[in-house]
Amino acid sequence: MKLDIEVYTEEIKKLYRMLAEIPAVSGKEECYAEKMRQTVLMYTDFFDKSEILAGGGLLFTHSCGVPNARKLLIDAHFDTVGFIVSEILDGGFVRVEAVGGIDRRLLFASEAEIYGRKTIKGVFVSTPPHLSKKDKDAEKKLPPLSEMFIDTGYTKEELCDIVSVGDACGFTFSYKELRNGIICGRSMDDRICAVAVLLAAKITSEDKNYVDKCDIIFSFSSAEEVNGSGGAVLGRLLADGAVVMDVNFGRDYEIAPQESYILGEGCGVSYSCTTSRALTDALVSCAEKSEIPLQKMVEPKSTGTNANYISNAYLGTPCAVLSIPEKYMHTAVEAVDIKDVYSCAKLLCEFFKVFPEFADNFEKSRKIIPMEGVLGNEL
Amino acid sequence: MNYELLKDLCQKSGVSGYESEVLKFIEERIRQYSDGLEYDRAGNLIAYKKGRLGKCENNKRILYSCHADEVGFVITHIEDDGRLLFEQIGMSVLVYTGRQVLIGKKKIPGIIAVKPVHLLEKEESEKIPEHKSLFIDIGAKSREEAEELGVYADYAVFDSGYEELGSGMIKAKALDDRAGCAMLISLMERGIEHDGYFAFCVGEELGLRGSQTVAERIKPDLCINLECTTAGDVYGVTGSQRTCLVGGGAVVPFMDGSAVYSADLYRKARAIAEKKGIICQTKTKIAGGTDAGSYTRIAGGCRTLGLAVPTRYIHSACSIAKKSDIDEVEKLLFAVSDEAAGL
Repeated sequence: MKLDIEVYTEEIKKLYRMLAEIPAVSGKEECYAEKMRQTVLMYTDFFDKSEILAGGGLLFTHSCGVPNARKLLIDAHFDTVGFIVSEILDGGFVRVEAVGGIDRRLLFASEAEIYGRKTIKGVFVSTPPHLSKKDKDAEKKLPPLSEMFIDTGYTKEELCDIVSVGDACGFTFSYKELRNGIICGRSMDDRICAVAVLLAAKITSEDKNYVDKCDIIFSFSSAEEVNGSGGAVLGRLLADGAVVMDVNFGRDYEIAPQESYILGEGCGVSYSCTTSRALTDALVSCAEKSEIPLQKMVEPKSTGTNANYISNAYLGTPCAVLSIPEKYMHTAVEAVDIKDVYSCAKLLCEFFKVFPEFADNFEKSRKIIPMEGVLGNEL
Repeated sequence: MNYELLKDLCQKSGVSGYESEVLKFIEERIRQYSDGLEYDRAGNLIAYKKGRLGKCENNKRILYSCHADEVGFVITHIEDDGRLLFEQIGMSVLVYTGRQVLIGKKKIPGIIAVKPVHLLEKEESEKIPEHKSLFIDIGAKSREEAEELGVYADYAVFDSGYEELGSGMIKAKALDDRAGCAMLISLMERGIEHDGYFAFCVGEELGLRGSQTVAERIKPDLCINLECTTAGDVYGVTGSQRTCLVGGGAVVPFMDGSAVYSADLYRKARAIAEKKGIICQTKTKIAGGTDAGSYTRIAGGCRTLGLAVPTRYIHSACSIAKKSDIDEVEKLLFAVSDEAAGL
């Protein structure tokens, strides 16, 4: 299949910007869930049901209408890394704690947003090293986050009317297009994966040849960056399989080949002891048959994604991990290649078609002597 | 104990996440003794077996559990020169440097290689090698050659035979927890008084993963968990630091790093052992973790009894256990099973 990417390039950019505009630092998903729901439903009519879960995660369901149809879960996470206000200081400064993995080295004099009663801008500051007389080597030392403050420009009194302890902060959104189809901005992790899912949903809904025989559930999960609770609750869906989508490291100097993907060479699939080899193989063979470029990585103990939680929650769900290669993860300038986003969407479209057969075979292979009347045999 | 069965089990491969070979063997073996048999959604092999006397009163569900997985390696990358990079599952770098391994279903032999001692700097020779300096050498001369063998993302196990050692001892890989598997298979072959569920769990060595879905699937009221547990009774270690003793009989723990076992079941199991003249001991250190951590915690949690074989060098190519201990654990399992309905 030729990747008719030109058709979708602008659409991917636009959709990403729409989704990344909406901030949802882990813990604050509920505040933005309704807005995100409207945004998704406005983009595609593929899903006939949507709901907001406890914790602010979103669940969009496409029902095929066939009774007892197979259920495929596609997961991307809704939350993003960021900060939380821990103290409002004299002079209009704000002290923050990190939410998720934050690289302090990049914060000096960088822009931030505080989501208080209204959204205000600020700049990260710390005591300038040349004023810190006590320690001659101060310039070489990275101060702890508790000594880096956000300067809001307000007086403390004004600030107290806008911001409260517990409010979230994030990176400001500055979208840029680099050369060769690389786009960059905040929250690519994991909104760019949601872009791929929604694009796949739209392409599928417009595909007249699509034989609709499985339910597709898209989970835009909460709390992946902190504790995985949004993934853990998905066990109850009893999906026949889950494709967990997240960004993974793009190849860069200093990052070894075995732990990174090359931007532009296709989405990536992880082999792990914590995911389903059968489902992973099915995904890989689907990509091969459809001639969709795919890179591979082995992450034996943990994929560092929601698959860690979904695979093992409740009765278990076979998981495969599909990644979009990304550079500069957890920064304001996360960068991905549009080609990878598109090939990821394409792969999902193809996988929707083959999944019911995979699920039938998989279930047949694991039930040897029926547990009827002993345990629920349908599980 | 059927030691032929134990030998067969130890020689099967089943690194966490890659348990299919050993589970297939168990599946075929227990099929004729099962009244229900399935792999659950997470890959655990679960059997249901009717008892001679039928269901327990109040439909109490009894679960017998062990884990099928073992420690080992996963190939993560192939270098241009054909060397394989790998990750370890459940081990310290001390026990695998220089060992022989077998990769994947085809059991391709390889060596976990290091630089010759002659070429080491003085300082280097005194240090434990770092994992990231190690690789597996299968003799391949290029990436292509290694790739063709299909080793990428495959598993590797220790190439270590099952042998009798000294006086009544066994040396093998994967005694943890094939000894448990062997005992549950034997129990199914012998038959049980009351209906029971048998779980051969995956992913124990990755952090008690498989047992979590088993707990949700079965929702047991009583669990008997079979394990091998670290015996630290080597030269120079004394007193409680030894944790338990090889030759000291069946281990019945009251607590470990993952679980608090039912004090009531602990007491009753010890009483049954005494009545039947079965030698048993307990663990004198609160250490290690078992699937009991899942069973006491998940799906409401259930009263759990642990039975374990004291085993030296447990997560290595050469674990050592004593036949008499294995026999005592099996006897205690059978005796406890006969009285399980009343426990």
